Amino acid sequence: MSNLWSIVAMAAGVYALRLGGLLLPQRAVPPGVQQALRFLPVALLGALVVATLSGRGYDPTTWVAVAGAGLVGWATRRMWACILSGMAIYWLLRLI
Amino acid sequence: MDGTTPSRVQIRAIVGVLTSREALERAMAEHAGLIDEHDRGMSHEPVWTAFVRGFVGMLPLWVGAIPTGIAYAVAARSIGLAPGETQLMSLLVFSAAAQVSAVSLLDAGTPILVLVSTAIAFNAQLPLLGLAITSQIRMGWLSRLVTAWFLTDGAFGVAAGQGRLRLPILLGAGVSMYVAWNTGTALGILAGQAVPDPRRAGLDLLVPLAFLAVLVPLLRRRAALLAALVAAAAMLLLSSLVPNGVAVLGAGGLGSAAGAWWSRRTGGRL
Repeated sequence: MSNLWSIVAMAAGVYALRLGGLLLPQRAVPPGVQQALRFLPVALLGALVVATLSGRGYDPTTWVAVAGAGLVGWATRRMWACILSGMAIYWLLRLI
Repeated sequence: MDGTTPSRVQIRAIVGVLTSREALERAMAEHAGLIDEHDRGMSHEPVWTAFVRGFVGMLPLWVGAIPTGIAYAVAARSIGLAPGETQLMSLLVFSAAAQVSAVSLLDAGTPILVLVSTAIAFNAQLPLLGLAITSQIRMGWLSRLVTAWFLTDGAFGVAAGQGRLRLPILLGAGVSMYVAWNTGTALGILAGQAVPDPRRAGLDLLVPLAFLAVLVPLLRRRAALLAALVAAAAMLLLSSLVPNGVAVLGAGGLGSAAGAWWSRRTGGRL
């Protein structure tokens, strides 16, 4: 259960953020910092898509599936459509 | 604010949560202008009714939360996280992006400090929600502690969309999302156990797909697109130089700096 401590530590970190905002005095975060914070999730997601993909090795089936899922996600703007289409394309290509 | 009915603002807030943080912020701003108009008639609503209103108002977001919870749990199984740990993470951390990133990083044997930093970086916007809430509601210690546990972008968006911001509505919406996320996780654990060798079945592909699914709808503005692309490119370069977790944080920092730079260059628009 070495993962247990990782989970508890992550939970403590995220809870501290949630509580922090409720405890901070108003205008504690300068606008410039707020603006940069807004892009952090998008940037991290971009990095993690690449990180998790390269972790699986560079297999063309995967990249076609991910590209397809990206297009479906872009067109429909629905999370489940993006995930399902990616898995469907991947499994179809593996069958061929 | 003439002609803007509460339901339209509410819908926009929900759509905002589903599509982009900027839209959510617009809804927040509109809401601020609506506080006085909707104060009448609602202030004497019983606490329980308000709580249920928040809970029900969150239901449209269940459609996104449950499948994402399933994808997270199946991905967790594919890297060998125990079912109890998978559910515990949903119960304690309660953050889709942080949890899916933890799953991908745990696999690579990332140190605990990097895991926590990534979880914090993913939720760096949460203090801004807290600030917005305390600017509108007076809160005691106990309600701060409880509200913090259930606080998400979605809960704030739904509560802000329902007229004057009230604690029971916010809590109802927060608890609703908590139930949805943990139900999705439980369903994913059950589904994952039905598959003997998830990695062989290619189910570990769910991890990058889950990130992509959260990312793509956020890419409406050029600054956001630039932030994601710079981060992705930086990740390609950094991953061969430093450990994965550190590379993710570095790439995330570079990407968000690029987004903020572009947004400032184009006059503060996101």
